[in-house]
Amino acid sequence: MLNQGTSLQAWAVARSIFKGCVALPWWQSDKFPSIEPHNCELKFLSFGPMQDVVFSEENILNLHKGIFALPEFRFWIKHPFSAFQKIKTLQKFGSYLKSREENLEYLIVLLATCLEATAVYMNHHAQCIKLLGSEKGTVCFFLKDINAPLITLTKNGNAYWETTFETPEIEPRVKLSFDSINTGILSCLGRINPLVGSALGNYQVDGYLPLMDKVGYCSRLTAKDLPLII
Amino acid sequence: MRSHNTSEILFKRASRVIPGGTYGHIAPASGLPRHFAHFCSTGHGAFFHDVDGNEWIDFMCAYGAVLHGYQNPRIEAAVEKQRKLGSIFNHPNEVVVELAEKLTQVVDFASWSVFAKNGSDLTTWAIRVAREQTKRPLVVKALGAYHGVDAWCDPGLGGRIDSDRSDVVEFEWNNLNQLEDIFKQKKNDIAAVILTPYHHAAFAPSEMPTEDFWSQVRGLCTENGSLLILDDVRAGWRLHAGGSHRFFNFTPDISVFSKALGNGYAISACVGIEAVKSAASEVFLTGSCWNDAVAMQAALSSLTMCVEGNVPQSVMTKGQFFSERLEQLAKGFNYSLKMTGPPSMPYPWFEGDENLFLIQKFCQLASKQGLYFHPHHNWFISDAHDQESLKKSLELAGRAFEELDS
Repeated sequence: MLNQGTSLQAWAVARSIFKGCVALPWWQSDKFPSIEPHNCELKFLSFGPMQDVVFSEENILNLHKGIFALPEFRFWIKHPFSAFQKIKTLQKFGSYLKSREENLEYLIVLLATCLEATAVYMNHHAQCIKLLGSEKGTVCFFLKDINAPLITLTKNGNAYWETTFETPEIEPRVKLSFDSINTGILSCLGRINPLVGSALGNYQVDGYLPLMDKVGYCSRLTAKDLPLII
Repeated sequence: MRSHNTSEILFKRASRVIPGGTYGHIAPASGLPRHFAHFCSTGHGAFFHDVDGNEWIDFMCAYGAVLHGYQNPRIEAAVEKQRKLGSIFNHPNEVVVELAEKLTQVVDFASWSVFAKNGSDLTTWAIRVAREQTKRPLVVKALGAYHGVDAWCDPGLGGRIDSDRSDVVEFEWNNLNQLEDIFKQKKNDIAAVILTPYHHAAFAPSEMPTEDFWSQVRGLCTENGSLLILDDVRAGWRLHAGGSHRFFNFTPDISVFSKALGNGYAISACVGIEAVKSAASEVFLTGSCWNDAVAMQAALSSLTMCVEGNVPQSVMTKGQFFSERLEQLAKGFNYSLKMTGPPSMPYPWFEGDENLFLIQKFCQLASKQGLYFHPHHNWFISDAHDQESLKKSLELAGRAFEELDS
């Protein structure tokens, strides 16, 4: 979880990389070392609990911008093998995002990347916290004609907002369904006006719309802070 | 199959030159964008046509602005007569005085009236009058209540800063203990309590006031020297011909009207008690087109018809007829539908449908039958709804229930 003193932006980028990697078609949790972000020293974040691949917050933001960024030498030299595996994964993830493929797998990776950053903002950004108030529940994202959700954004009780790939057991509060893979990708990239998109059938929103409005606003606020450059 | 092709083409054009294509409460995202048209072309009585030529039996009445039906002949005749003379001048037209006099006759507590174009113009002005009168900063409102588009109360998410609402305190509708606590804590800081006659929030069933709600609110305001402002913008002239406070048997200090007042012509009015007339004259109020003689003639006719024909009672009776039968119809298909709020402006609520999927599906299917049922907003009955149109609507709603059930 985000520690006091940690940059919200860096944490959101690290979390979004983590969730994006987990969504990669070839990702298998039993084969790959965990890259779930952990707080490390002040202004440093570790991908995974081992503290082998550690980036300064500045370099995390450079990763996001696509600028060359090295993990801290003093950490990875202690665990070179696992560090190498993780760095390869991060590289593959970066390349995959840039590939701009138009298929379901790519859409899921993109959704995971964008929505996890949004979830971080929903949990920690002052304006998002204020506008969300006591909202909770589940928001499911679908592709037209596919029954299972592509990804779910959820908050139960007093817990935090998070993305999951599991089909929720309870009825979601709101469902958003993209009419095509391309629409989903363009939405993630902020290239579809939400009002226009729903009017023209690029996507359909059903259920408790005020929650979707708030999630949408938080996602645009996140994207303004952390535009996806691919 | 009802086509929406022209509507979509027009929306695409609109989206190139208007942010979001259309905006506010009529923005597609707040309704059922794939099932309702985006643009209308004509309206007569209880019906309107969209730009694709589809006919709709209307249960939104331009979101309440049309009380006597679209293009009511008597109102249109008055409007046409004034239009030939002109609408906006350097000074007000005589009709402004006639309308102010009419309002002070119709609304029992009113000793003065002012006019603007929209509800928001005057809800915001009214709280400034209360601040001028009391020299206090705070305004108390109900949580989730809509009072307009200004920063202190709008339901949107963008463009806000913390100070926008730093002088607004909220309590849950009908929770008198909360309101009492607010008065205890902020005793000498509350300029006004602003409330709608009943709680008509979007995306939720309407809540009527509890039996002692209004007497308690009135009492708290009087005891604490705060003004009671009634936002009668939406409900005005659909509950009582003398203003909605009469329906609930209390007296506010200020009431704000709009919507039904002009039967579709843009006008709002604020009326108040003698004691705040001086404060009202201290708070600046103007707009280039606010002395619109055409809209004022429409309001004068509309108001006269309201009183002469007791139109609020008429729409209440029609709403009762329709709501009861729609509930029975739903029950026949094993759905528990409650038409909440006053029958003249009922909000449909399926029991157990907190996430709104069922009402959205029902309204979508109803739209295929040409029924304009909004899934997230209270509906409106107009005096142009007659037995024939209401019975036809029930028949079409039955078909929607059949499809919902299949």
